[in-house]
Amino acid sequence: MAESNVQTLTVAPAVRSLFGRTTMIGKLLRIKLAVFGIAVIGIVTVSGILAPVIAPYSPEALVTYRSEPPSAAHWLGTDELGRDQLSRLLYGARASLAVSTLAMLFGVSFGSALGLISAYAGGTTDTLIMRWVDAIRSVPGIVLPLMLVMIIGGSIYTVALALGFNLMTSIARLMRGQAMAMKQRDHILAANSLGATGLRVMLLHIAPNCWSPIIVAASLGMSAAITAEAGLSFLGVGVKPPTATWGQMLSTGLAAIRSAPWQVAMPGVSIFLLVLAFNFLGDALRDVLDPRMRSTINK
Amino acid sequence: MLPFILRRLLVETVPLLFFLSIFVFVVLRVLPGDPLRAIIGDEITTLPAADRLVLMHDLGLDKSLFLQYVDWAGNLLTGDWGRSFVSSKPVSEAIGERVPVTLQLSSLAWILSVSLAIPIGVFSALRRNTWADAAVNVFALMGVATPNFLFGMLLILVFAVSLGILPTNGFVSFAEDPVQAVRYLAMPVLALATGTMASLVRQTRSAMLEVMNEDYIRTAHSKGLAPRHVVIRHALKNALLPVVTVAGLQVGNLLSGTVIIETMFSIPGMGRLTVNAIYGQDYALVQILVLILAVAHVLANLAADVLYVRLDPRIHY
Repeated sequence: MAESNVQTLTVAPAVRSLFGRTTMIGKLLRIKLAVFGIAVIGIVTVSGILAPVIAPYSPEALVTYRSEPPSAAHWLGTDELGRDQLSRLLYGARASLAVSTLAMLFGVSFGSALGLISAYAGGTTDTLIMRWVDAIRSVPGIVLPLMLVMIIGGSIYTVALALGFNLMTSIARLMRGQAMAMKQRDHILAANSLGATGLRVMLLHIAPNCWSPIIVAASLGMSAAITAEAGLSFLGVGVKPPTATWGQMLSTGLAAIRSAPWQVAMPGVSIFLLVLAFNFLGDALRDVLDPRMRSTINK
Repeated sequence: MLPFILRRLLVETVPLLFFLSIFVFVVLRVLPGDPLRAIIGDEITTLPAADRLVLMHDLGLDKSLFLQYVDWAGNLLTGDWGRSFVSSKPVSEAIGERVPVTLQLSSLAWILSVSLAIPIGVFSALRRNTWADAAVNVFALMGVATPNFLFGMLLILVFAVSLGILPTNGFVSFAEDPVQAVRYLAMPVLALATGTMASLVRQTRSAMLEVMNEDYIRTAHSKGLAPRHVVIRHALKNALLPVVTVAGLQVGNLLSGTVIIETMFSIPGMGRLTVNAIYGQDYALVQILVLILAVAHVLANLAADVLYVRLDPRIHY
């Protein structure tokens, strides 16, 4: 008896410190749209990870002779080559999430590093880095990734790299802005006058205070990457077939939209829901992390 | 105002294009990929080495990267944009015939989204917390999250497949036949405009809500001014400032959108040309197209900034 009391006593504060009203997760879970977003992202992630276990067929197996409408054997029908759409959708979740997560990680890590260096170094270094960043940002969204993927070839990694490259430039701008403002603060002056090295000041004193907008941008960046991945596949330069991605399912489905509209339905709905989910999460994170910023959801 | 524009052009835009031109030039040449394959196709593998050298020499690809760039940039500045590797048409000609198409498509989409988004955003803000406001919010959120090609497909399903009233492929210029032009452009323009419109609605709404809480709005109301007058002359004029900036930034999204939408609806514009040029590894065409798209994007942002200064008398340059 006494033992279980001890247990609740030790567990309760831990739970409260994670999910309590004042913590980030706690606040997030009190925003309905954020919960919806997290739920959708969770479902897609789990079905992507479990795809080999739960998919009824292999995503590349030709199980019917031609495209068939949804039936008991093939819940979402089959595509023009006779591949099971449900299995492809599940494996597609895997590819779409892998590409967008890798792109986000690449963009955030390199973008933050560039922004920090630019802000901390100042002078010519700053000008040079930011000129490059602005030059790359001036090209409308999908054009550079399209070019890069076309040249280096389409795989999950190259597409992620190309999309992350775009995200990197906006993160770099954002991080630089944050770090520039932080640089003026007294605690940075204090650290500098105590003889802290540049690297130490950047990593331990500036960076930790700049994360809030970066986290928001990362979430919105995920939704942009999912859209862009689908767009690239749609243009025929994404991850190479036969690997299933949602964009590719849409693109092949479009050719048969008159005779077999079921082919575009589920990949379309899935992309829409996942992008919506990351948008909701991003907006909610903005409300939670930065109360000064205008709320875009609940106002 | 003129000094401001000139300074922006000289200090920001010109260096930006210079950096971008180097970037694109180098990326196209340093990364793997054989430009000759684009010209002679798969026979490239059986091409004798001597012929290959001749061909490289004709295209100027045997010089050092630096010299290639200097040649190219020099020609570019004197008005010679080079020839397409694939069709050997002058690049300026290939692009020139595509520009009006994309211009019609994207400007229509922009005008449509701005002219609908601002009234809807204001309406929604003035009816805060009513069902109408909620409906606008839901649609705006959905509009922001729907990729343009997805919306394009939905339009095709409804208007071409189910109702069979709109064509899915092709383009007719307004100059030729206005009625047909509207029929061909309706779906691409709508698909392109939705995302922009949705984010402008959200921007207008939140800016209006913020402004309507200001003291000077209460003062204007208590002076007994007509509500319409307060909303339009006092509130909207101030709320439009952030909207103008976003409307300028959205031009980039529209241009990016034309790449996909033009491909989807088989519209012979710059977006589809870009895809084809990249697909065919037509360097000469790709590097100019990327620069032109960037120029359009940068000029749109500059225009937004100029308008911003005009709208806000507190800012002086």
